[in-house]
Amino acid sequence: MGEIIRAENLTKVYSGKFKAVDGISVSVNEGEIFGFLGPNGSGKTTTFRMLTTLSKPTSGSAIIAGYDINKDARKIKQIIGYSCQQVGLDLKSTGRYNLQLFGRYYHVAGKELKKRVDELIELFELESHADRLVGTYSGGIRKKLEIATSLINRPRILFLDEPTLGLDIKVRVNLWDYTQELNKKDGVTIFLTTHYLEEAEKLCNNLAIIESGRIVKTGNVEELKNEIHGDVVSLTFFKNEKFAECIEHSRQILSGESFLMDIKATEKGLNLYVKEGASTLPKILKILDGCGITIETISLAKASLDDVFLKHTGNRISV
Amino acid sequence: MTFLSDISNTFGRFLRSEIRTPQIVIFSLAQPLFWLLLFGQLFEKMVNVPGISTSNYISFLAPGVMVMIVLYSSTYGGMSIVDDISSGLLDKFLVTPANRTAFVIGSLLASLVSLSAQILVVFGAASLMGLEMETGIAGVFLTMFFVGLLSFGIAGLSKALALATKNAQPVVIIGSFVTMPLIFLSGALMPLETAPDWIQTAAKFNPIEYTVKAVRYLVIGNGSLNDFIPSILVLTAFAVFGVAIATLAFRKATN
Repeated sequence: MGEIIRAENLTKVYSGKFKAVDGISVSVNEGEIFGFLGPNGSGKTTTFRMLTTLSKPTSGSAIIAGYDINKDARKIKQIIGYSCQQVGLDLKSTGRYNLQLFGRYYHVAGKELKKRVDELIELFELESHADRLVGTYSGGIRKKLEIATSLINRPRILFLDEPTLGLDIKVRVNLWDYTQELNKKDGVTIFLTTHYLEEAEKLCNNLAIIESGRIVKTGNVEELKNEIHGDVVSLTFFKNEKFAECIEHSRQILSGESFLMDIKATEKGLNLYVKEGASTLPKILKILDGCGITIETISLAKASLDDVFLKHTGNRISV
Repeated sequence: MTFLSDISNTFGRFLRSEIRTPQIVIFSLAQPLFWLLLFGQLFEKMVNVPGISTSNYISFLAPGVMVMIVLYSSTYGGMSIVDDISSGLLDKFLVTPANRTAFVIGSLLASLVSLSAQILVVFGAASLMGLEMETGIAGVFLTMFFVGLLSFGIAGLSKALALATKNAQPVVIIGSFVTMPLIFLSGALMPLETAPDWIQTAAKFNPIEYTVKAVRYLVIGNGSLNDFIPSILVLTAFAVFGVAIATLAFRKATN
């Protein structure tokens, strides 16, 4: 399938100084789930605001389904859906009324509107909630309704800004299922932002790691993880006067070893990327012990997206 | 066509939310009654003051109470938009193809409905207290027209302020700061004839004064068409200005 979103050098500068988005170029294919992975304040939402026509780029451009965000905003509005990070609903009305309200702004009316509203209520299993005031809903039900309102116009592309922010794990898994179903059954292209690694790992085909308004790495999720190779051995050292020296010394000794693929300093010590974690662990211990280096802890884990993030940004995303 | 449907959709939403809150309906209708009774008693002897061209103070006071209602209800008209901004609802509306000006006009029209109900309450209660509407039912409709224009102007400014600051607080602070001076720099409660020159000059720039004047002519029935022309011009300009600045702020706030 072809490319449906292509952004080139999107930049947003606020008040002439603050660069919220600093030259983002990204390409999303029709039918995929694409993710922006990055911490809060990294420019994910601002990029979304430009792509969904809410905000004009300071410079740069993007083409969405053949339409230019700088010229054809009205055309783009018809074919996209946008789910925001906040509540995004009229709390003083019922769920059904909220859906109708959005439907009418898309100029859907009469029988067609009723049909679409019923369809969405059924799809998101909101039957028992639809006629209650939204203010009485739980967070999970609200989010389901909110996503439903952004689908009223049968969009080709759905933008989900932090879809499961602040929701508990059960609700998140449930929302992931809906997202995947929308993508698979109806072929909706989904572009989401998240700072949850599991979410990016579970849902996305491709993702872009974004930090301080820039994309630091783009790629297929599996490929990105493979790039990290095998396992991660995390060493931490006691925070005393020898801390920096220990890190430097260990790095020097270990760099020559054949099992080592990569090595990165962390806040508390070192991360060693190795092929075979289980058999390497004793070797590492022996080498360090032989050189008189004391470690505080040693742990072994499979490489995750967090390590991908760490490798490319020097920071951990985990919150 | 879609422009009108966007207006009616917005109008419907705001009207619903007002009707769904009975406390607001009750208080907004009780407030003009309360003012009418309070000021009516307090200033009863004012009919002897030069400049009150009627022997019945209620006829003089009722138009003043009407503009006070407009001021108090429209000054805070921007607050609903602040809620919609912080809840993310406004962004979601703006992603739809709906017309932006329709959001502003629809919400202004909705506040006109409750305002009209309040004005009718004043007319009803004041009639019981001795007001005689010299220009009859046509005068009541014309009153709605002038009051509506004033409300568009003030609510428009309030919305613009709310949109520019994205915060309810400045709306409350500035709103309550300007309300009283605007009332006393007009002939709403006291005839301006006896006021110092500078107040009379200031009143010439006060849209409240133009509304009070026009409505008072309608109530007392002593105005000629020429007396209405300045009010029509000033208030129409003020209403257009209000809607324009709110729309402009709306466009700016959403970029």
